[in-house]
Amino acid sequence: MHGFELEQGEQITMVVRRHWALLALRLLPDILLLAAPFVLVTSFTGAAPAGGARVIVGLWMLCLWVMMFSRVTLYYLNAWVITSSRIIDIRQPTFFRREISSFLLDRVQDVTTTVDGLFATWIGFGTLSVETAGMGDKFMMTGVPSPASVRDLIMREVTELHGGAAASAHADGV
Amino acid sequence: MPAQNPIAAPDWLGSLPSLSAGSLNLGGAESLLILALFLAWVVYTAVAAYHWVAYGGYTHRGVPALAVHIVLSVGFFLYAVGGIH
Repeated sequence: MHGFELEQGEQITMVVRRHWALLALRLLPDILLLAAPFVLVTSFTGAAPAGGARVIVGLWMLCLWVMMFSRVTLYYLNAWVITSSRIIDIRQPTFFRREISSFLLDRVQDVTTTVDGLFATWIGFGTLSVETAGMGDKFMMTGVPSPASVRDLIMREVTELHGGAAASAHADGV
Repeated sequence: MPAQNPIAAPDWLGSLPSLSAGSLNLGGAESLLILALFLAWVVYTAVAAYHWVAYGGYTHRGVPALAVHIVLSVGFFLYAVGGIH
């Protein structure tokens, strides 16, 4: 479904993507470039592009649109999937490069959130980093919307996982 | 030596397509270029559609996104082709 298989009994709790405002910021220059030749030709000649100019402007807008659509597609393909037992980090920098890594929630040692700057505070996004025990790895995601609530969710899942394990160990008389 | 008009436009300029008005008459090379661009767009759209659909969960957003992509692309393409005679 997302390019990975869920274990038996595993459920997706949340899918986290970067904040939409960051996508909008990246698309803004493309939108300006998309409209620029049309506006320039119209303002210089006093009429809408015609003939060869129309062909060039049309193809330019088509190319820009394809670039914008690629950005939107890759934005949706990059995500963190938080399940009841692990966090899956899906990274897709290009169409033909897809990396999926996952780490178990019971290995999570520390979850840190950072909201840095006026824009990030105003819009409400930040960096979420998760440190795992043993491996010494640190998984990081930037531009996460409401990072504190995502951190709370991860910690709640970790607590539930440990609580469930402790309860079953207690029931087994360990 | 024959007299030359110093401000006369060079002959080759007359063979260029008009960029300001009228319509563009396509030669073989230009037609091939347009066809190559169209084929590249078709391949790109197929690759993008595969990603939206195959990595599922996104299907409910993938279908409208692809619809918007196709409608806008066809619009831009038709606009461009409208300049060709």
